[in-house]
Amino acid sequence: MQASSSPAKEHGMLGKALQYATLTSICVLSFSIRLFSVVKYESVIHEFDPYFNYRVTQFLTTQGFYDMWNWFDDRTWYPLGRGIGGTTYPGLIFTAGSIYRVLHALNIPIHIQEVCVFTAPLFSALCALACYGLVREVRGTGAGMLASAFVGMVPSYISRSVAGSYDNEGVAIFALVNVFFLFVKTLNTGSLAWATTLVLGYLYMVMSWGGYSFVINLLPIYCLACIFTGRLSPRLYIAFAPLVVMGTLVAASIPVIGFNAVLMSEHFGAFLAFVVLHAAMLVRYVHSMLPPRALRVVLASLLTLTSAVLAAGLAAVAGYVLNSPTYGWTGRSLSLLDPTYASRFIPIIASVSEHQPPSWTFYIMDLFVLVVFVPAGLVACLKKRSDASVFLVLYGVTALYFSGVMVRLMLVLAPISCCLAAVAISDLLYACANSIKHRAQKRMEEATHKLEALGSPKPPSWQPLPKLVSVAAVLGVLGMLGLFVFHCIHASADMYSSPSIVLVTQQRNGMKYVFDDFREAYSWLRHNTHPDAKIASWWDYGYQTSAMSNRTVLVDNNTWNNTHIATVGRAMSSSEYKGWKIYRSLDVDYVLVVFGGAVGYPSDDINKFLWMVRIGGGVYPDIVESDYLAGGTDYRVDAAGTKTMHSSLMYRLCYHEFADESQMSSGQRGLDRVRGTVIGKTNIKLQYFEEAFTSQHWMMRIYRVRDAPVRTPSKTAKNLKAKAKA
Amino acid sequence: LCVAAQLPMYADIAMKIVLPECLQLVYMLLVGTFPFNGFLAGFLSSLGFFTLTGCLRLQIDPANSKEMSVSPERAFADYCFANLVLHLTVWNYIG
Repeated sequence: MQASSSPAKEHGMLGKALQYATLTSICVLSFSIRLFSVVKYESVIHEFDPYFNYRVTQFLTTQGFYDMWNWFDDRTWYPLGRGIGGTTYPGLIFTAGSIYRVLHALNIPIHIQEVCVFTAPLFSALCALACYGLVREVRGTGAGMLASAFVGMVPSYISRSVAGSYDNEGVAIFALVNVFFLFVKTLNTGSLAWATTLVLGYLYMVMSWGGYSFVINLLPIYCLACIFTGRLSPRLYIAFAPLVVMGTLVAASIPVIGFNAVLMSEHFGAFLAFVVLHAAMLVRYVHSMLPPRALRVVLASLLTLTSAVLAAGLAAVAGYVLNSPTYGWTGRSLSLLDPTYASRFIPIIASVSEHQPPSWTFYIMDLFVLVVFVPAGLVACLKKRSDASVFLVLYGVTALYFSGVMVRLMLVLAPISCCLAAVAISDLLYACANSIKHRAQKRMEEATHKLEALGSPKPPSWQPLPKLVSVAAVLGVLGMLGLFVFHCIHASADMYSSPSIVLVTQQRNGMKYVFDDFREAYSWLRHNTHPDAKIASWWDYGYQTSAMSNRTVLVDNNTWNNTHIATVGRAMSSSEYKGWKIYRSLDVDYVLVVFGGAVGYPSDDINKFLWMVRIGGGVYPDIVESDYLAGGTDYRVDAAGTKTMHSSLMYRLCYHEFADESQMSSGQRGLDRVRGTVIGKTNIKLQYFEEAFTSQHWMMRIYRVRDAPVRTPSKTAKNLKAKAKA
Repeated sequence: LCVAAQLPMYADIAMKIVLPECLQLVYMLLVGTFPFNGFLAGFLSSLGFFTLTGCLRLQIDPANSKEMSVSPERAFADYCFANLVLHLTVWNYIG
């Protein structure tokens, strides 16, 4: 039985055909709006993390499922290696691999890169459909279609699922909304078939993203809220209880989670709610069977027994949890619950720019008009309450909290803000449209004197709005929706479509100029170095180096070993001799640095250098951050910089022979365009490294680690003179 | 067989599975968790079966029929499908 009360009825075949046509065009829209980067640049994989996923998918398609599942990668984290099967969320990779296999079985020979590039837009279309299903359970088809249109276009979701952004979130947001849709559907129908489909949908969510812990904690919160607000019903039991048991089973079968599914605090909420749900069902059952006096006695004894058992259980769990230093939560989850945790304990998590809290501009940019309608949607859901609308409210509130902790989690807020805004706008439009219809009917009545023929279609307490107000409201809402569409297209085309592997600027004559230095350097590495060469760079570039150059790297974006990263950071921050010794001990052949001073590229290694110092200093106490800051506080690269800064390996590698080049290009010796100053040391001579390659715009510089230091000619000449004299 | 008469049967089945389940838990606590996947398989399969039987009983209870949208026959078919998925998953954990 549908728990929604939608006033709109499908008018037979035409209405249904219109609905399907609209949904199809929404899917096509959400697919196409993400294709700007393919149109403007080329079909290439963006950013850093997607390159790792691409590499694993390539491996899957060439070597097969079992080899990928058991793959131990010895070409990353150089002496340590990484077990890929046990540390990745395989959902995205299996999805792309399956699409590839299906297409090849149908004799459509598409390259795996194209499949990877277009996976995310395809799943955004499916996410729009899932959102339609979810909101249709709450408020009916009209609100559902509004929600699916919003989700297809909202800039926050576009930012992580453009064509080329082959990352977990591309499929995970679809999986998230899908799980919630299946949960609400099971809640409304009370059917075990839907409950089983819910478990399978949850399996896909667990496979795809670490954010599954949001799902497995939100559903128990909802269950407890239902129990304590009197919405307990058999359908709730059918929706929640099989999910906990079978969900734990399927979650534990994914290697990256494994036995954490029963041992980590993230899942304990589900178990607690499971126990409380059973207790509540038992109370309800007893309630229906006994007369009042016996009932009170039984209830009292039952509650005492349950609380005793629960207390014992909680004591055991508390003992287990307090034993572990992080109270059983993983580091990433703790950094979400306590926003200050990462900055105090895990500098690597704190250093990532997408882990910073968002400001209001982010909300307006990513959600635009929906920001205004989300509170209205919350109120609308609470006024016309049903099981499903209470769920939307809880999802919205928790998503709002988490989006305030990290910019990255705005992505979780995007679907629910679309749903709530759709509910609000749908209610508003119904109220206005009904007012107009009612007023038109009344006018027709008066015109034809048929005062008794048309019965009132509404209960007497409903007052129609004045016609001017309702028309103005409808036009206003439609205008805002139009503005929203323009904003989304602008955001997608101009802001979220750049593949950071290729940079483009406007020249003065209007032509576009392309900086392709990164791929130039990776390609040089691929073709001019020994296949077993080891490359050291900062961890940002690890995945790209592995995927595009196919060489062994020391550290990459997985950042699972903080000490190893700190070792690389220490090598970059030490003097040339010390850095050389560290790299020789790690068998490094080439060192790679990114330098933006020649062209003004701001995200280069000199700007990231302080993080290298901090992370290195977090593990090795001989690296002190204040040694690198002029006067203890100022980060400078010019003559006022400290001696430690000028003699650090990173400084020397970045600015080696830069003074001559900048004199040729800009006329001033050593003008660093990003920092805007002249550098402090202009005649840097390297003794332990040899420049192997510098890309066209000096953005990537590769140095070979020498086996023995260069013998300085002045010393040799002095020795010869001394010997000749003697 | 009238639906109302089946209710105590399902409740009986559900209760009968709780006893071996508790025995498994006690055994694990006594002997240790070594093949943890084996313990998970046994414990969660009995717990899952108990939950699914409870769901079926709730679905076919005539007192609940105004809330459910499924007929008792459909409910039983769903129950079989759910048990199939449960036991396939559990099979993954054995050995």
